[in-house]
Amino acid sequence: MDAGGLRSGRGRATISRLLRTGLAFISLAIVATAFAGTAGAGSEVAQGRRLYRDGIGTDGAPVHAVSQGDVPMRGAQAACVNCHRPSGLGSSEGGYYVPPVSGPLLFAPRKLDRRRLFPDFFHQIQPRRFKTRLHQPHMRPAYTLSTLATVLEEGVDPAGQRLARIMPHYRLSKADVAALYAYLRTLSAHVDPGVNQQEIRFATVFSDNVPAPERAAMLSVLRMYVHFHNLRLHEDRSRHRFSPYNRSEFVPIERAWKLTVWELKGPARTWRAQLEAQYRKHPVFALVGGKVDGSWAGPSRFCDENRIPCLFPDTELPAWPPPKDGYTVYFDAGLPLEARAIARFIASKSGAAAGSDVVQLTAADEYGRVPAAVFRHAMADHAGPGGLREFTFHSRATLERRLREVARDPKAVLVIWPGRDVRPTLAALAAVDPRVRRIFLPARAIPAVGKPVEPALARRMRFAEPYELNPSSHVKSFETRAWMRTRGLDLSHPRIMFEEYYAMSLLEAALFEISNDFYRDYLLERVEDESQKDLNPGIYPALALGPGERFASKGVYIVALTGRGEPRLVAKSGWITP
Amino acid sequence: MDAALAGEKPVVVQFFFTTCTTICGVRSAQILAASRELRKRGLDVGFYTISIDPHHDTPKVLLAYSRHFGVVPPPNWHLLTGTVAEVKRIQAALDASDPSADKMMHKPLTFIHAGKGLAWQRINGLTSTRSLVGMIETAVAAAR
Repeated sequence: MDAGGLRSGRGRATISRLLRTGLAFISLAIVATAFAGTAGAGSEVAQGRRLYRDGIGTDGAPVHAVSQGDVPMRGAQAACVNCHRPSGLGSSEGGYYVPPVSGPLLFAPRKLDRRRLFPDFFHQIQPRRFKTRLHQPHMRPAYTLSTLATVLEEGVDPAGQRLARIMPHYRLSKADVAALYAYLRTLSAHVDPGVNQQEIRFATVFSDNVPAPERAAMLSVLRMYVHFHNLRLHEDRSRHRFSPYNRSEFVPIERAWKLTVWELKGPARTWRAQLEAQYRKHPVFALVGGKVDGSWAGPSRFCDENRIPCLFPDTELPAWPPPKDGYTVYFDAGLPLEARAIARFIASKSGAAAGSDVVQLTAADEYGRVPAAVFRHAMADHAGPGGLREFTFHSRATLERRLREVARDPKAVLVIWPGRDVRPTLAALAAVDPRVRRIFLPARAIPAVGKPVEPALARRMRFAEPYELNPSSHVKSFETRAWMRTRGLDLSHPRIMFEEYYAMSLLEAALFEISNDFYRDYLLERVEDESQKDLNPGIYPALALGPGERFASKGVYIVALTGRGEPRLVAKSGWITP
Repeated sequence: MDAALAGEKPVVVQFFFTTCTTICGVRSAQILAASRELRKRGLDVGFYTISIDPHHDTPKVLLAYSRHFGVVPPPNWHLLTGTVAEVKRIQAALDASDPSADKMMHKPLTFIHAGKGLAWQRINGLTSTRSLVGMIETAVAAAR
């Protein structure tokens, strides 16, 4: 600073500079407050996510949009997620291609990537109009905040091209667009953990109370599948410029698979913490297959909170009620499904009078409590509340006592939910032999029914059976069995081994479709899509998901055991989808 | 369904499934808009939307879906489900069978039937509500 005193000019300049700085501080403060104001309602990214997923604007009201020129839509109907999907990688359906809007793709100039479009070109049965459109991509520069506003309001992209009329025109405020812009920048912006340039890591989960032979059988299939995948990859990579059917461009997207076994010890309520600990040690991209004897509720929270796809664990107790936007995909809904189906079956046979004759006997653990609650609600739906008699039993002795009480009522319909160990229940039934009209039991009780079954008792028992009664009616069952035989696997446990084969073949198909886009949400979306191809090895009558669906099989047969010789199952109903 | 088709009342048929992304939401919203417009013009048309995913789309699920589009969906919009065999039969009868088990590949078809004994009109693809209403009106007028 000039020590020779301030001349008036410089003094004025200093003062005005000070004023300007002061003003700058004030405007910064205003901006900061404004930001804090929005932050009070959730950060901009959170607001953008709400707009993307739920169609709610920054003012808290549903947004308005018009599709196809004159179809009004609002709120959740108009939410971006419906077509562009949670991952933002888009979809293809009904002859319409929906392009990706993830951050890295939207905010960069359009680049042609045949690998990303490969499934749309070659794996889907789409009309000619669809293929034509794919062959005429709209090249464009990167989107900016202002061109994003334009495309949402007018349907014109940064290169001045018109989007398809199905893309809605939105009425959005500046704050709405800014929020969406902030969110989209983060959408699928980074590849998820558990994958690097060389390999992708998976884990399979077993609880320590699953019998060792079952676990060994399932693992043999999983490990063999992984082994053959890696073998094929090694072959491809070891040939210089190998390119059968132009596959060389796909070899770089392939990763070696690494499968780790995570064993869960002790009670089910400790499983979630164990999974967190395992994940911290070995981050994996997804969980696949496996089996637990107990509730999946804890693991489900682990999968949802870490946003990890958990593909087809074998469990009778899925998280119930199913969480919204859950990350676990199941074969079927286990005991809750059976409870609903039994309620539906009883109501269809006896109508509104059903409730008064039904006695529900429930074991005191989760294998009893969970389906009992579902059954109670389902019966209330069908036959009105009340009328349902219920008892909880803690031991074989208490169950026998209850059975003796109801045994004198020939109109009674018993619905019994055995505890984790089904044998005491079946022993009690054999000992008392209640002469009631019907006794309903879950499928898991079937293996414990004594051979030979007392014919009179067998005639009265009904089971909810969620599986295919005639697996060899599915062509794919032969192919699957052949795959296992040629690899020297002992078919000791066909059903659960076929389950693992299905889980792996579906994972493999979905992995090919996601190309280099290793985003977990995208994997889950492709699993949903690919599950609809014919991969069912015959363990269920039908296995298919859809967007947002989490249970691949949705029904049961009500079956009885034939009492003669080696008991087998005979259907007493059609396929019930409650 | 057979009863509806055997009657004199004009009928519009579409296929969908509730978890469908992309096109079904627009088409359902369009049915509501079209139905409002036709009612204003004094036309009583039955809209039948049939699920091609009957295992998932139980009556409960369909009811929830219809409420998604407005607190009180119109009484002439019928969302139908059934057995897989029944759905496939209707699809085959209308030459609307899906090319594969993959329901994502279903076609955006709309069928208009103006009345008993008349030919069916088949539209492949999405249109504006105005066009759809116009086509329904034309079909009904031609039937008279």
